[in-house]
Amino acid sequence: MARTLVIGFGNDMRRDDGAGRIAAEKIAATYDDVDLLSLAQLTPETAEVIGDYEVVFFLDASVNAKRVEVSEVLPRSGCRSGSGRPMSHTLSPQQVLDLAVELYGTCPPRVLLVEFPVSDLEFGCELSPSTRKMIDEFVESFSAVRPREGGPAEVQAQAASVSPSPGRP
Amino acid sequence: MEPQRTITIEPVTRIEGHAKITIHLDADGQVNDARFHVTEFRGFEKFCEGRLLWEMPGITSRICGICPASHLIASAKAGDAILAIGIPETAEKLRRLLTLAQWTQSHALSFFHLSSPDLLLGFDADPATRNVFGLMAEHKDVIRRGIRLRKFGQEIIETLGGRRIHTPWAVPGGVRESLGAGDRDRLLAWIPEAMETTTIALGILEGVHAKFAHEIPNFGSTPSLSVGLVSEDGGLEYYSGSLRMRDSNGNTIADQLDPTDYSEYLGERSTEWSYLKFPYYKPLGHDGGTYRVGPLARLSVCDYIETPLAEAERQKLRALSADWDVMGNPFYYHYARLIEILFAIEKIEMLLSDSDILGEDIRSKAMINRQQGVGVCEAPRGPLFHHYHVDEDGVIQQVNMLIATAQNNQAMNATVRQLASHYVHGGSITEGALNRIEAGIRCYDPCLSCSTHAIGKMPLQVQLIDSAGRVLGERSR
Repeated sequence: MARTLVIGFGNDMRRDDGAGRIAAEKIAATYDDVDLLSLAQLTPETAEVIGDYEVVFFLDASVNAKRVEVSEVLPRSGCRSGSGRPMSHTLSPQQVLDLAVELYGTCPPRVLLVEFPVSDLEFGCELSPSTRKMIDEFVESFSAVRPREGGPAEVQAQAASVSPSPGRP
Repeated sequence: MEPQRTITIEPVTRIEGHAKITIHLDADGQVNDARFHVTEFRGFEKFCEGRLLWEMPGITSRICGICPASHLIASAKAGDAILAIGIPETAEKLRRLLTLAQWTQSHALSFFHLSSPDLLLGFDADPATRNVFGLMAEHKDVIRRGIRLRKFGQEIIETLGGRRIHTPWAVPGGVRESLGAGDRDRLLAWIPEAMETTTIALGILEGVHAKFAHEIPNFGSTPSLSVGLVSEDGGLEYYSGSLRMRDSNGNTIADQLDPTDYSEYLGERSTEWSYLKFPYYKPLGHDGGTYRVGPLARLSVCDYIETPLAEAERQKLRALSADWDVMGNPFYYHYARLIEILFAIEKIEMLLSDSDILGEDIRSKAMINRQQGVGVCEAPRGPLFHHYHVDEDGVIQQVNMLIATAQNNQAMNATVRQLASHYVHGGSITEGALNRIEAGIRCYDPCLSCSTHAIGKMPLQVQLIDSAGRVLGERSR
């Protein structure tokens, strides 16, 4: 079984909104044992594949994040009522995980959400310098952030630009 | 005189894009009018000006995340027309394969993800759980199968184009990459599962028809033309062919229309209250020329389907009613969509089993030979027209795109009016009425991001407004 899957999602034609995808692609190019999914958005199909992995990273852009934030995504019980909003074809990482648990009975031991701050969401493919720098630092520190094989379930944040957040309900 | 009042539903949920519905009431609280407003705008046609013709398939496929493959094909065909070349046989078969994969994944999304919560949980179910998550308790296998069926279509698109959405694979003159034997075999192996899922879905829908037998007539059968591509001998067509129009009694009123001459017989009217234009059939004027497109319209205009299982289902659909009522009732779009999935799977198997599909001659090359060209194909939601004008270097001077959802605009408004008239009384709107009006829109599976070329969100708002323009009440999700 492959150990780690990185899922980057966002619009790579709206500059920093593509931060998650670019970061995921760089991680997959840097680390041989990491599989990659680069997506415009998360869909129900994503739920089918994550159960094959021990560690899943969702990488996204965030207008609220002030620095790179890493948080744990935990499965919710009774996600029928917790889905919260009308859904069509686009899902949040939480919903992807809930679907994986409910539909396929699979739950990766570790699911982490990484959010990159954004400063430019205009049309274009180039990242802003600040977001690009944070992505590069994150990719460099990825082996430290990544849960170690068989290691304890804790979010590690050794890089200065990475701040761990509490797990999401 | 008492003021007229209006109810607004905004945004409409589980559709592709952002819209609202206003319901205008008269002094007695009865529905006087109802409108489906599309409130987003992006303007792809304008910013394509100045780009090179060869870039257009890649650019216009970005219009939509649901049906990018259809824009890709229409755009590449417009490019073929401007180069004035025929494309290799293998390239046409590969483009057909892509178009059918697009139908499969889009129709599966519509049926399993967007509409099945209404159909399986009922229109009176709590909106908080009337979604895919809410379905999981009792219909887990249906959801899993729906996801796999959509994935089948996506897998074909990804195999051909290198990615699931926004692939620039089709180009003026053909396609960029051929199909390998290994990939062909892998896709063929998926056919039995896709077929089984569609058969199960058809069985489910049969139960839905029985369950909602008393409600289905309320979805209306407003007089309207049906328009779609047909083959030379009247069969269901999706890539080439000519346009046929039938009226609400099933009479053919126009046939063998060259789709590239669309502007001669199709007009577009604008309103001040929606960014979505109102296309119509010019000879019959704005109102008489209202027409529908998409799965139900295609099955209305064709005489037969070339694949056996889909043809058997088409005959069952026609047999639901002795007259033409069924073909005019938008609720049966769901059935038509499943029949088209069945057709797509059968046809995909035929194409993949054809040795030509593995050919390496996939692209013809030429310089600019004409200064304008029209590309037409049947997108999941109906005929899609791309019309480009270029200069002698192939730089785009003007673009017009006629999108399927826009062509259903008048019909969607008529459906909203009909449902509102039936379910809204006394100046207030119940949750059940709101749900049914939304469900009426979802029958058409509108893609507003495509039709206004806009970025879409899917919130829901309803407003109640009087004749002086005052908002008397509002509900939103």
